[in-house]
Amino acid sequence: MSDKIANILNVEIGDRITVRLSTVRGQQNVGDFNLAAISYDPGLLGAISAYANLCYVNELLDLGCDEYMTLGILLENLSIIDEAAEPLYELLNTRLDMFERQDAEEEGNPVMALFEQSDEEEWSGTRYRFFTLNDVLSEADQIVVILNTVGLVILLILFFIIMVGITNTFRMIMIERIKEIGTMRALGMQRVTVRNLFLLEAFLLAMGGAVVGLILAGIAMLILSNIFWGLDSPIFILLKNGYMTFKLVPHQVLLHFGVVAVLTVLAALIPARKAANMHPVEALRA
Amino acid sequence: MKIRKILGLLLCGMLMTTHATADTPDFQKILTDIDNLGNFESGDFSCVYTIVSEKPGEEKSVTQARIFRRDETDQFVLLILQPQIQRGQGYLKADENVWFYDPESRKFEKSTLRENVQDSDAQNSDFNRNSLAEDYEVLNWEENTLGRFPVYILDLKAKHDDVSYDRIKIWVRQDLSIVLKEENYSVSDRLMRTALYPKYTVLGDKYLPSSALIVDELNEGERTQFSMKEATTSTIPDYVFTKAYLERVNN
Repeated sequence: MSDKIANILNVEIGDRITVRLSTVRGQQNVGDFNLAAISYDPGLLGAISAYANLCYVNELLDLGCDEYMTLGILLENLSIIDEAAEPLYELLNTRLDMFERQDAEEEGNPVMALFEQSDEEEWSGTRYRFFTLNDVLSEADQIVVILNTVGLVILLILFFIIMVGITNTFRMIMIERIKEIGTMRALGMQRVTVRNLFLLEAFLLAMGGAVVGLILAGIAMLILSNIFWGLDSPIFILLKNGYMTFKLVPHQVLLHFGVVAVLTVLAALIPARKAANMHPVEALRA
Repeated sequence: MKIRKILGLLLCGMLMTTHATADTPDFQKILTDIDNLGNFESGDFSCVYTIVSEKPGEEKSVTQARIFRRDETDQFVLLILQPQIQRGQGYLKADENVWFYDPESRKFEKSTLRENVQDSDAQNSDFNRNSLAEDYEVLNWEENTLGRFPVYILDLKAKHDDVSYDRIKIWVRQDLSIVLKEENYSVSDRLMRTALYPKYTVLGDKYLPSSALIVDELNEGERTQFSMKEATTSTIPDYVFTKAYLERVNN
């Protein structure tokens, strides 16, 4: 058993543990186990699992030595789960008494729905239930979608605030450089060129900021990924062997660079046009 | 000479068998009598049980539950009155199903009477109608005394797996078919708990244990005492045996 459970039970290797359990049909049963080894807690599963002689456990559960209550099939690729599950379910359905598969998206929590299903229906004999990792994780997927949506809304609000900030900054820049604009216009520079100068400056500043941000993010990720958060940390679901892991996807980085550039240029567009439309004489007189 | 000896032995054997049969009590009748004395086939029964659970190193926990029984239709309601934090939780047995209601979540969950009441050694089935005659058969028996009462000690084996314990041993008074002591064994034949019924309440022609002590034989020092009060056979309104009652009773 795991070290965590061994500590809670205050047992050591060689101790005898009496376990009270119910058979598959709900009758009271008791069994004895000798503690052969204590394992390093591998995380959440360590709290609910232990290794024992299958035949003996089955005997206590009133099952045959080679009988199972749950059978898992491991696929080579997670992406083919649904593709592989459908024909297998159809095949099993022709040979065994199966619970109807439920639509995970419609039922909300699919695991609870599976259990509620057995409450609603009555049957005799043995019935089998078929579900995939996708059914179980669909709720987690929903949480991810919700988190992403909330994140996107916050991001859009941030973008709006930043764009207002950039617009105001470029207005200030324009006011500060009003005489330079007047001189350049007086020397024959075209309006479009003045506007493009401002936009180019905004673009270069945005890219510079993005690159610095990327470097700082890289440093932060490096530091965070070297911190051991523990295997039983409340954020264990986000961790890999107790460490945070980060993945930089190049095309997403490029996309974000592009978004930042476009938004910055858009924010700078109004002051840039205003600067471009300024009359040279009025600009020099200011 | 040899034939005469054999005939003599056979005759002795036959006489002994006849004698033994005449002395063997009618166990099926005893079990049926136990059932009849504790069950209300034509009428309702309700009472309040106080369950005091003791565990080493822990404070005593007190649970109070009101029980409603209608044995004729095999209906049963157990409503938790105490502790305050669990007040309103209840079990309803209707149409072969047992439901657990939690007022916090306002939801019903399918349950079983094999569950323990709160964290005590008492099971919900301890307060429900039982049928030893239907559920068990006698494997062995012996005569003995328990305190000042001559008793039959009956070793019972479950006929099916719908009961909590596969094997039980009961000490039944010889003059009146009431159980004074009970031992419950696991499927693996380990003694799991011992129950003592020192006091009975007489309700008409029925005998019900008014107090009991249940000792957990697996966890040393763990014991549960329960006592019964407000026992009555007054008719219980039909609505009590409904989900709506459990939902409404807290409002």
